[in-house]
Amino acid sequence: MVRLLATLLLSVAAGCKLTEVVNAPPGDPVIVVQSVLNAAALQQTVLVARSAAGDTTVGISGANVQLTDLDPRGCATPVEQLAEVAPGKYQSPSFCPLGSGDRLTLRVVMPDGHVVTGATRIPGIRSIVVRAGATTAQLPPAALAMDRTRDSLFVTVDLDRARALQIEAVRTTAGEDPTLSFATDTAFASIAGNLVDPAGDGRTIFRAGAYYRLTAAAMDTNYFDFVRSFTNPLTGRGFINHLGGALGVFGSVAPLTYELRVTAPQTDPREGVYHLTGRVAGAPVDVTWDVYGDPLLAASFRAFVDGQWLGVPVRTSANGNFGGTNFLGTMFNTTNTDKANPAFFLAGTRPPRGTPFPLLVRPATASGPMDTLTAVQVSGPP
Amino acid sequence: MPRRLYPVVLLCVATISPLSAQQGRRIAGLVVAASDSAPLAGVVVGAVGTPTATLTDQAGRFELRAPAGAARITIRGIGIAPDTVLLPAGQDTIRIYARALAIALAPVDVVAQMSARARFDSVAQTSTITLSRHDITRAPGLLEPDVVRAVQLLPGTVARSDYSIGYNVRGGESDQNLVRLDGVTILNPSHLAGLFSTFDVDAIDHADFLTGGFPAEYSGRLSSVLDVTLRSGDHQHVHGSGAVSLLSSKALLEGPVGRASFLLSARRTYADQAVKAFTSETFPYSFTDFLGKIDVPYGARGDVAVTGYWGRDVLFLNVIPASTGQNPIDLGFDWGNRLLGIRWQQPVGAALLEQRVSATGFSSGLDLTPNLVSYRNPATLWSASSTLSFSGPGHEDVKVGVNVERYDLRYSITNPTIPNQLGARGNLPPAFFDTRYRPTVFAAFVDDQWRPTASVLVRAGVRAEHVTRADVTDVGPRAAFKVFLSPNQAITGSVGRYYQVVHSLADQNLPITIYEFWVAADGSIPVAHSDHVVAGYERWFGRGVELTVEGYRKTFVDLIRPNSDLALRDTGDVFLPVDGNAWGVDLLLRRHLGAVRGWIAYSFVRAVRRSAGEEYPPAHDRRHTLNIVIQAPGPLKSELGIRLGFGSPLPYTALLGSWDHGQYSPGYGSFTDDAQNEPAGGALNGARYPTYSRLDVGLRWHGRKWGLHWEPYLNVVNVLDRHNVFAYFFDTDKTPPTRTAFYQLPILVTFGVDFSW
Repeated sequence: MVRLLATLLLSVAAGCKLTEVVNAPPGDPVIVVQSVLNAAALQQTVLVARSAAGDTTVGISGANVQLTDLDPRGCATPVEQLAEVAPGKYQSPSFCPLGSGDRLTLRVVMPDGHVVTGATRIPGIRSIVVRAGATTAQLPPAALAMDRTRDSLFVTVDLDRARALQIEAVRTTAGEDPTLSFATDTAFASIAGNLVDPAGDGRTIFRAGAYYRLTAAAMDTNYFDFVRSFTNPLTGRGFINHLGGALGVFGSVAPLTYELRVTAPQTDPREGVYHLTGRVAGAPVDVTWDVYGDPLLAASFRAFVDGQWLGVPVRTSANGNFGGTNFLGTMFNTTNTDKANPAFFLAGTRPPRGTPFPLLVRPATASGPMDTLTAVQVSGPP
Repeated sequence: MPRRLYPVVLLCVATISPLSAQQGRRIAGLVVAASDSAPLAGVVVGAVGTPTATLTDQAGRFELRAPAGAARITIRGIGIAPDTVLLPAGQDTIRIYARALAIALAPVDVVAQMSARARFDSVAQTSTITLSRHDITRAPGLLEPDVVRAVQLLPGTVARSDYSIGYNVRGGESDQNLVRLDGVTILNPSHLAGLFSTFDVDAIDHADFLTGGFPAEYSGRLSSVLDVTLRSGDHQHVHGSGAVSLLSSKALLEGPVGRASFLLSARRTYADQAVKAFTSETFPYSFTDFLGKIDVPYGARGDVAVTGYWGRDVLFLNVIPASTGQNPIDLGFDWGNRLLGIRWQQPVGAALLEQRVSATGFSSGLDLTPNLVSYRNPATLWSASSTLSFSGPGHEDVKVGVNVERYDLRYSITNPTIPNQLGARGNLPPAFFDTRYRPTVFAAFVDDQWRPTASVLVRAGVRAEHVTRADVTDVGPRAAFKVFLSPNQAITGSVGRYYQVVHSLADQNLPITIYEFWVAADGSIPVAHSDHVVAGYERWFGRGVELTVEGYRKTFVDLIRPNSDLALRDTGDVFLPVDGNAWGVDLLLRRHLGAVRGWIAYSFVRAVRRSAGEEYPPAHDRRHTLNIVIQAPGPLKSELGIRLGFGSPLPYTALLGSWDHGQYSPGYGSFTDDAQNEPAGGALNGARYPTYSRLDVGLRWHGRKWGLHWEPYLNVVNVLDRHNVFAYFFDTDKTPPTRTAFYQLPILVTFGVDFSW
C-alpha cells in the first residue's frame, strides 16, 4: 500500500502539466479602420490597416476612402475622396466645416474590393462651465489656474446630440508626464487636483509649474463606444463595433480647449522666480522661470517660463533639478511640433538668492557648452 | 443502527390496488426510521384483514382504506423489521417508527433504489433521479465527497470544468438550477471559488435531482431542481463522526433530546492553520461552515424540523507590502451563505398541512484597505409557504399550496474618502454605486395525480405567480402521464411552463464563475420562462436495474446577458435579451443493488441562443456526455469506485488576431502613439476545445480500532493524466502570437479518513 501510494505521488510530481504554450493558429487578417472626425478642424484623417502576425498592423495602401457630408450646408465638395499621405493614412486637408447634428458617412473600398462602411453624427456643446480654483471659463475658452494641493476641476456641460463627454489634460510640453483622459456619459465631471495617476507610480497627474491643455469634447456614440470598450481576451467579446466590414471606429468629437496653469504653495527656499538674461545662438533671451519643486520626486522641479526666448515670446514650462547647489534645467521646443523633445539643457551652480550666477546653455542636439546666460533668483519663500 | 440497513422495498407492487377502490375509513400516516425519524419511502403499508396495501411516498406518507373500528396496520419492506401496530377506532392518523432489520445485509444503502422504484410505481414524474449518501461518498472525486460533483455525473448534466461545481442541465445556463437544502433555497452553494459545494455529505440523507418537467410545487428556476435533504439526528443514541481530508476537517454530532433529535456538523479547512503552525508564511484562504437540524416529532404525524446553515469563505491578501512612505494595501474578500428554515407538519383530518418559513442569504464583501474601496453584495430571500396534501375521491395525491418569496439583492461600492476629495461637491453619498432588486413573488399552485385506469397515471397542475416590481402575473401549467406497458416498463411524458425571477450577472462565456451575481426582475429585467416537453421510456430489469431514456425540447425566453453597450446614466439597458432553445436525449442505466452497482449516463444535447441579431451555441453546448460510475468490491478488501467521463468539445470564441486599438486625443485632433494591442474575436463560440475525458478511481476501506469505525479512502483523479483544456489564453503581443492552454485537473492523489462512533 505504501509503495502504491509512493508510486502515485511520484507520478503526480512528474506528470503534472497545467499549461502548454503553442503558436496560435493563424486567423484571418482583420481589417481595421479608425477615424474620428474633429468638428473643430478642417483636416480629417482615416486610418486603414490590416492585422498582421504579432502586435503589428500594416497600413493598407491603395484603398478608396470616401467621406460624404449628408448635411453640407453650402459646402462645395460634400463628397470627397481622401488622399493617401502615408501607407494606410488617408487625409482631407480641408473638408467641409462640421457642425452639431451634421450626418456623415464613410465608405472605404479595399484594393481587393472589400467594402467598409460607417456613419456618424457630429456632436456639439451648447454651453460649458469649467471651474478651477478661483478661475472660471465658459465659451469661448479661456485660461484657468489651479492650486493642485487645494483645488479641483469642475466641468459642467450641456451636450447637443452627443453621447458622452471626454476630458483630457495633457501637459503642453514634456510629454513624459502622464496624460489624463477619460470619458463619461454624464454632464458633470470633477477632478481632484491631487488625483493620483492609477497607472503610474503613485504620483499625481497634475504637477505644479506646468501648463496643461485641458480639453472637453462632446463625443458621438461611435467614438464613446470605441473608447470605453475592449475585447476580453478570455471571451473574445466586448468591443462595441459600429463599422460594417471592419473593426474600429468612425466617430466624431467637438472639442473645446483651455489652458490650465497648475501651481502649488512654494515652501522650499530654492523655489520661486529666477530671471534669466543673455543671448543664445545670437538671439536675445529674457525670461523668468517660476520654479515649483516636486514633493514626490526629490530635487526635481518644473517652472513656468515667460518672456523672450531666442527673440520670440514664450509662455511654456520647463523641467529642472536642483541636485545639491546645482541648477539644471531643460527647455523644450516651443513650436507646436515635437514639444516633448528637449531643445536646450541649462546648467549652473545656484548661489544665495539675489546673487547672479552663470548658466551654461547647450542645444540638446550638440555637445559642449555653447552660450552662457546670467541667472538670478529674484523671489521665493524664505 | 447504521442507516445503510434501512429498508428496501420491491414487493408486490402489482398487488397494490388504487385507493379509490377501497371501502371503510380512511387512514393517513407517516413511516419514519426509528433511529432518526427520517421519512421512509417505498414501505408497503397494509391493514390486516383487507387485501389492500399502499406504498409510502418520498416523504414517508401514506393513505389507506381500513375497516371501521380498531385496525392493525402492517409495514414491511426490505431492511426493516415487519411490524404491526394497533390503530384505535377513533384515530385516523398514525406515525409508525420502523426498526431496521438486525441482519448482516451487504453494506448497501438502498434509499435511492427505494425512491426510484417507488417513484416508478406510483408517480407520474419524468426526469427525476435520487442519489443517496452512499452514492455520493462512493463516487471518486477530488479531495472529499461532494453531492454536486456526483450530480454532475448524471444524465442531462454538463459540467464545463473540473474547477467548478457549476453545471448546466439540458441546455440551460448554470443559473437556472435551483438548489435547496431541506426545502430552503441556497443562492450560491459553493466554497473555494466554486470548487466545492456547501454541503457536508455526512449530514445528507439523499438528494433528488429533477432535470425537467417538474411538478407545480417547484418554481424559481428554468432547468433543474437539486433538492438536498438532511437526515435527522439519531433518536435513540448520541453518537458522532468526523473526517479529515486534504481539504478540511469536520465533526458531526447527533442524538436524542427527549422525543426530539439533533444533528450538528462543523467543517473547516485547515491549510491556513497548518501553514501558520509550521512555517513563517501565511495561507490566505479558509472556509468554515456549520450545519444543524433539530427534528421534533409530535402526535401521530406532526413534526417540526428546524434546519440551519452558516458558511463563510475568507481570502486575505497583502496586495502592496508596506515600505518607506507607502502604507500596505490589503485585500479582504469573504463570502458565504446562511439559512434558517422551519418546517411544521400537522395532520388536518386525513390531510397533511405543511408550513414552511425560511430566510436564506448570501453575502460577499471585498475591501481594499485602508479605506480604498469597499464592495458589498448582501442577498436575502425570505420565504413562507403552506401546502395541503390529501387524497380525494379517485385522486391519489393532491397538493394545494401558496407561497410568498421576498428577494432583496443589493450591490454597493463605497469609498469613504471620496466625499472629501470632491470638495464643494462632497455632499455625494459615500456609496457611489448602490443598486437593489427587491421583487416579491406571490404564488399559488395545485397539483393533482390520479389513476384513471390501473395502468395509467395522470398528473396535472398549474402554478400562478405574481411578481411585484416587474408587475407581471404568470401562469405555468404542468402535466405529466405514465402509461404502464407492464409492471416493469412504462412510457412517460410531461410538459410545463416554468418561470425564473432571478438571473445571474455572470458572463456565461467566462470559463469559471466564483459565484453567481444575482439580479431580479424589475421594470427593465424580465421574468424568464421556459417550456419543457419531455417524453420517455422507463424499464426495470429485475429488482435493481433501471433504464430510463428521455427525449426533450426546451425553449428559453427572456434570458439576459450583460450589455457592454449600456449607458451608465440609463437604467433600462443594462442587459440584453437572450432567447434560445435546446433539445436532446438522456439515457440512464443504473444498477441499484448488488455487489457491483453504479450507472451509465449518456446525454446528447443541442442548444442554441439568439441575442442582438446573432445566433450562437452557448458555452455549455457539449453535444455528447458520457459518464460511467461503478461501485464494486476492490482490491485489498476495499470498496472500489470508478468514474469514467467523456465529453465532446465545448465551444469557445477563437481569436482571429490582434489590432491596434487607437487612442485619440481630442485636444490635438489626432490618434496618439499609444495604441493598445487588442485581440480580435471571431464568431461567438464558433470554435471548439478538444474532447474531454477523465478517469477517476477511488478506494475506501472499513475497519474498527480504538472503539471507532474507520473509513480511510484514497482517490486518484484523472488517472490517465489527460490534458483536458480548461481555457485558451491568446497572447497577441508576441510574434508570432501564442496560445496558452490551461488544463483542467492533472493526475492528483488525494486521501482522507472518515471515522464514527
